[in-house]
Amino acid sequence: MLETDRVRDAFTDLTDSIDPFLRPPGVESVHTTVRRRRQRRLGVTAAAAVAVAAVAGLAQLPAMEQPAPVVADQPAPADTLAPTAGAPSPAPPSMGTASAGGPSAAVTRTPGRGQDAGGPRTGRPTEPAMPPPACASTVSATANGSNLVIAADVICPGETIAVSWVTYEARRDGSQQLFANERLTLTEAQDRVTATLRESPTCVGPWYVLRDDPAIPATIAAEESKPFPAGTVVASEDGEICLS
Amino acid sequence: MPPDKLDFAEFYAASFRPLTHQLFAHTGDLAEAQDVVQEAFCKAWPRWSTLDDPGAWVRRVAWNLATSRWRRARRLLHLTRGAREEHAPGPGPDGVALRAALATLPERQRQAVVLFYLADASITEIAELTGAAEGTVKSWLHRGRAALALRLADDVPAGSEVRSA
Repeated sequence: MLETDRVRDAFTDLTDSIDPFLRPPGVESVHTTVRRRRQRRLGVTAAAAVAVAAVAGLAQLPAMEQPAPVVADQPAPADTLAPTAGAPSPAPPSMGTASAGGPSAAVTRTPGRGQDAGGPRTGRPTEPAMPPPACASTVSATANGSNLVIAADVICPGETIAVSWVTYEARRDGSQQLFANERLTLTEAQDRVTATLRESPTCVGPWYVLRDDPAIPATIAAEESKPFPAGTVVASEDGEICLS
Repeated sequence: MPPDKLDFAEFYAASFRPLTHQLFAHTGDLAEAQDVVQEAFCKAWPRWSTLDDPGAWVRRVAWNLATSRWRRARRLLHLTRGAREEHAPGPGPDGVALRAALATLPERQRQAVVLFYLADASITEIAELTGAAEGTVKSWLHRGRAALALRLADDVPAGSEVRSA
């Protein structure tokens, strides 16, 4: 009994000895860390969305004869064209080189007038110089504990967006086993859904919110860092907490 | 300040120090102990509203983080033996002897003893936390306490070998 008391006293001595050196970082530090991690995740998601949008935009470029859509949006294209009506076009004569400059852009903005005015340019204004801006839907997700809100910030007319959440169970070997998932849809009529993440009670792994129905692997190998195709991960949170 | 935030702050204030005590006793590294405890709170905060028993949850997470990190650190230490500089505070003689004695215990025994003395955890709670049977925990505690008592009774200086009884 006496020996046991001495063990207890030794523990007290040990903890007393470190108390002066203890520097709890504080609750604000917890909040800051969590916020920073969320922002980093959102930043990665946003960067992926921008990359997807950029790729989508580039894919449409070949259909455009005039790679100067910004110029076409200048406020007074008709005014630029008007004085030249009936006169030779100030644009270079070759269609292949007429890719820059306000006047040619003005023609694209007012095709009817340009076509009437410039005989030599027949046919040119009928080309769809700038396609209508493609509607790109965006989806975001926020999680508060296990409560998830998935919302379409932009949803295109008539579009149905498939979204899903997925949770994985962490394994001792570093791999992750699919634990639960649920598929939901977002439409113009219902642009926001709520869900509850079901997470492993023993080894909490990461969760993901996905869009566009990517394949969901049953197992993610330890060395796999991108288990889902680019642009399909709306939000995610890492987790490798085994509780037993 | 929202009520849940206030609760979390109170919980943090009440739990950080004792948890750090436990993990320092287990790992012998105060900075590491503080790191894993803080990380456990960071894991808890986003789930705060859903945790039924936050004390047990945070303790489990902190211990699991510490265990996995400690194992990694031990492997690294094995590779770079002698290269690590210790920055340990200065406990009294019993504390010094205890640290030395704890370091000689097998990991699970040490965890059981630390939880018993510093977390006031019951055998059932230790069994749940470690995933071991209660009988196993009793055995760990018995052996661990005996080894510590022997060390302290003999007042063996840190780093010395334990004499056989």
